[in-house]
Amino acid sequence: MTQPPPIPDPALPRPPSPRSPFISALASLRLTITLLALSLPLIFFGTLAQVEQGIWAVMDQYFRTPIAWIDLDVISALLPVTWDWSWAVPYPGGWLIGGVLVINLTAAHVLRFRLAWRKLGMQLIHIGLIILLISELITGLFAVEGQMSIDEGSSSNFVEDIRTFEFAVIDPRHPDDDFVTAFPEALVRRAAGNPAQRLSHEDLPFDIEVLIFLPNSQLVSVPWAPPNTPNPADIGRGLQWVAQPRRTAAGTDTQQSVDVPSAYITIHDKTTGQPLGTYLVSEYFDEQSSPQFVTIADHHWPIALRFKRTYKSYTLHLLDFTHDRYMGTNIPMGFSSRVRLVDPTQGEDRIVLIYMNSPLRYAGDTLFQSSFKSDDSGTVLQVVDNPGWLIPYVSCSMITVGMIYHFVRRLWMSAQGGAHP
Amino acid sequence: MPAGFHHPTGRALILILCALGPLAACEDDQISQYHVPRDPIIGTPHEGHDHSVPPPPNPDAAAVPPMMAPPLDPNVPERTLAAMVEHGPSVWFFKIRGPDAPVASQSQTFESFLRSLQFPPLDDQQSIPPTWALPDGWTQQTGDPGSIRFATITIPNDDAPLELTVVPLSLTAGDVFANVNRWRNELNLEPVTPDQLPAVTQQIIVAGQTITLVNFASGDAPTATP
Repeated sequence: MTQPPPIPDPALPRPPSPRSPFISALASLRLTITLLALSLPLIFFGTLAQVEQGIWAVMDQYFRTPIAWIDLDVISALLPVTWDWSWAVPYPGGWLIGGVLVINLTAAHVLRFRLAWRKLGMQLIHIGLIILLISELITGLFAVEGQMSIDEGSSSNFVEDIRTFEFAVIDPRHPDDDFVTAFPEALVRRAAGNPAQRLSHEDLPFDIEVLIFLPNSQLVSVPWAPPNTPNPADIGRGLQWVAQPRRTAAGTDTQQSVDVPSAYITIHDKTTGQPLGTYLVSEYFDEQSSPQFVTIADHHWPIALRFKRTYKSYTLHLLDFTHDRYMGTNIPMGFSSRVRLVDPTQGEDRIVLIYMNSPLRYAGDTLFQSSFKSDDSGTVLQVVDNPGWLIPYVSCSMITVGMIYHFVRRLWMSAQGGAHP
Repeated sequence: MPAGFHHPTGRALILILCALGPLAACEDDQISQYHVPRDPIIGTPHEGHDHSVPPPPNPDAAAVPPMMAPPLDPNVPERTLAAMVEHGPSVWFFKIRGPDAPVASQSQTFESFLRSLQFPPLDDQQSIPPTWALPDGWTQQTGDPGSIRFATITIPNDDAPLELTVVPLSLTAGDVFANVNRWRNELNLEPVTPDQLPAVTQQIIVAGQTITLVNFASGDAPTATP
């Protein structure tokens, strides 16, 4: 004999739905509060770190990473005592906190979603917030930003990211184009001062040992270098110049400057294992007009330490650069670049005027008039390729509409007799 | 096992940490390889957008900014006396360009002027200008604020006075090869290769600094350049 099912008592609260405790935890408000609380120290220390570090280095170390390593040195800036601790402690990074927050918000909505007019405002706000967090992830992972510097009468088909660098080797055995092998910043830093960890690639006939790496440097001509300054270079431009370390640019510097790296590298022949010379490579050297070569088996391989390049399918030719100043002063009034845009892949060939607040949008890139060369001899365009550039506009619009809806609805409900919406 | 591991929130956090852990390995440490076109230089479009005949490439344009060289009468033979010297974070350019004969007559005086250069010790790598002694009759005007010219030195001449310009630029403009070919190009002379540089330039040491000099005339025979 089976028992009839109990009749629910409408006076009692509804029993919890049979949902997994794990899912419930993912959607819990407690997790939201924990994540927000965790983000406070991260933002605090990330801001403090900019006393010593540049903003982009801090972004990478604290925010655009799953695990942030907080330098204990930054704490000493708050205290009257100083110490020489060079320790760093791990802490949830921006991507970890943001990622869990996205999951948390999404889970909460999936579980508690009710199609009701009274919840529409809050839902819009939260969905907008989720989209905003995702857009930051897309920007961090996929956005490429750099500068395109062009002299008047010259052309360029690449952008340079002045926040990071690469060590590039060009294969001279390709007669029709440049075949570039580029070692990224992370590998160069890892190889620095580590003879066992050379930069190597199967296509290159030599390995590169990074003797000394200077993240920010200055070059002093040899006769003017202080006495007894060591100069490891025995070939190339290092015979005329000595690299010296400089403090890396900090986010709090009043005059924002750029770190210009240099390095001393020793080239080793892969076949014989013999060193072929120690070079000074530096972003200061212009690789186009005065390349340094590694000569091996009658081939001259250009090498360069340079800002990281991203090549484009299109080429810009600067026809004319105009820099207007307010009369009688050197204060810039505006600058504009008249360029010829050529893209053989799309059959594009047209003349475009780029000026302040009027960027060129082409092939997913936005090219802003950013700056100009010191003697007005050329233009500097900021080129941003961000597949998620539109998302923050959408998310902020959703949040705004949600807030307005929520506010107006509460106002209306209050006017209707003080009932809670 | 910690009690937190049994708590649903704790388990959720650990699982998410494990799921996002691989992101830590997302550091950009891959060697990249790619082909890029050499010399992506395109010319100014002709009228009617006829791009079939591109202008000759300007290999040093990206490296060396123009120095405001005024165009001279193409029918008059011209000469350029120029020198460049690196000092701290700057490269200093000294240049006289004008009609062949008057400029040629100043070549000895120009070298004497260069030998009078003094280079003050660098102060925290700031660009401290060199000093010099003016030959008899030469007069100097300081460059205007905002102009790239540091100074203009006027040299008396029977017809029209000559100008010696003094321009400091950043080190990126300091490549001898690119500058030599730029100066040659101004006089419609054939460019030289790096191997030919010693034959067309002269180097003098003044106050411990190496100064590179050139003396080109638009009438120089092509054979004059090896």
